[in-house]
Amino acid sequence: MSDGTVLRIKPIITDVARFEGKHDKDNNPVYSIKHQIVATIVSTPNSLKKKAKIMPISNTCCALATITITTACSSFSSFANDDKYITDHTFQNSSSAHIISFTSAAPSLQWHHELERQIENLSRRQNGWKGPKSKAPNEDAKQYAKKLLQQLVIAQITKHPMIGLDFEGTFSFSWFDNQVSADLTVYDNGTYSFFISNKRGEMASADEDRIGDQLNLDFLKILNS
Amino acid sequence: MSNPLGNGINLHHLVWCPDDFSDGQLKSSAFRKQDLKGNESYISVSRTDIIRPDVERQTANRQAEKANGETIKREDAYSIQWNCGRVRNRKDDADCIMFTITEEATEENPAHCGIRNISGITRDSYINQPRVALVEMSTQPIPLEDFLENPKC
Repeated sequence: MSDGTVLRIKPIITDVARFEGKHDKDNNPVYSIKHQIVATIVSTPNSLKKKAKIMPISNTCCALATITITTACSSFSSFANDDKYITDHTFQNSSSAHIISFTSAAPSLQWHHELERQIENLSRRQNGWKGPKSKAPNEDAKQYAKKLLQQLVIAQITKHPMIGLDFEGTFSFSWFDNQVSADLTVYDNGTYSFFISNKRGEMASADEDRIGDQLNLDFLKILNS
Repeated sequence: MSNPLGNGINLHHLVWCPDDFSDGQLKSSAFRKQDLKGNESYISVSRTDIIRPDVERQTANRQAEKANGETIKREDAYSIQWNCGRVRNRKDDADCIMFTITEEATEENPAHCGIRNISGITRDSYINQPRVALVEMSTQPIPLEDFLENPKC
């Protein structure tokens, strides 16, 4: 892009239909193409970056984007929304003269995939993995752990967690550094509990917060302190 | 008859599962939540002033053998330690003492002790709190054999 951003975009076509009786100025038939793209922001100039802000969580992973095809246009623009740290792009699809627009969230953090891999590995533990009565995580526990991880990425936390598997089969996210200590447990009913404290003496805890709702603001505030 | 369990004594805890570490850092998942819910449950430790290395090695081997589908070698076992005084003085977010330490000596392991949560609170987020405290108060994990070379230091 002209602003220095490097994007890697892979379209996935899901449906193609021709508009009956409609043609462009060159008498070519007009098609409607439904597709999704996987868009990875490879790099962004520092000048375009802004401080992380908490944003509402959607079901969209930060590295994914949905596109819609609209009408012909030759413009290209890029801007950052002050409120949401969401970037909108439009650009011309040269082969079909259709405009594709999509919305993508903030760049994914380097550790996201590594931690997701750790969740997958821990999910392979069987009952008894840590001795008698220790439980294997079930599918819901794994999926909710992944979802919470996505929320942390989208919230652009500055410290990545360690992922652990509890004796009881729940996933735990823990943080321990010079500033912050935290333990967060993900339950297979889609809730989480946590306790967090920092060296300034600030503390927060909560039970049964729902994964998928906005992450606990006290938690994020202390984590990013 | 052993000496009283004074504040200067250290407590050894065996951490044998590789899943409980990340780059040498102990995870909170090293501690079973059920062990921190009070009543009869506790975190199992051994006081280092009268510790018996052979017992600790046997325990490490036995725990690894019991684990299903996991091959845990003894050299993978680690030791972390806590100071009795620090554990006893640790307070929770309501400024209440969080733990007590009880002697749980057996014929096999006379050094056996337990760290118990005495708050009486069992809600999930409260159990997250002693797990944080235990990680914060622990020493860096060291290989069990390194620890057993000179456990009283």
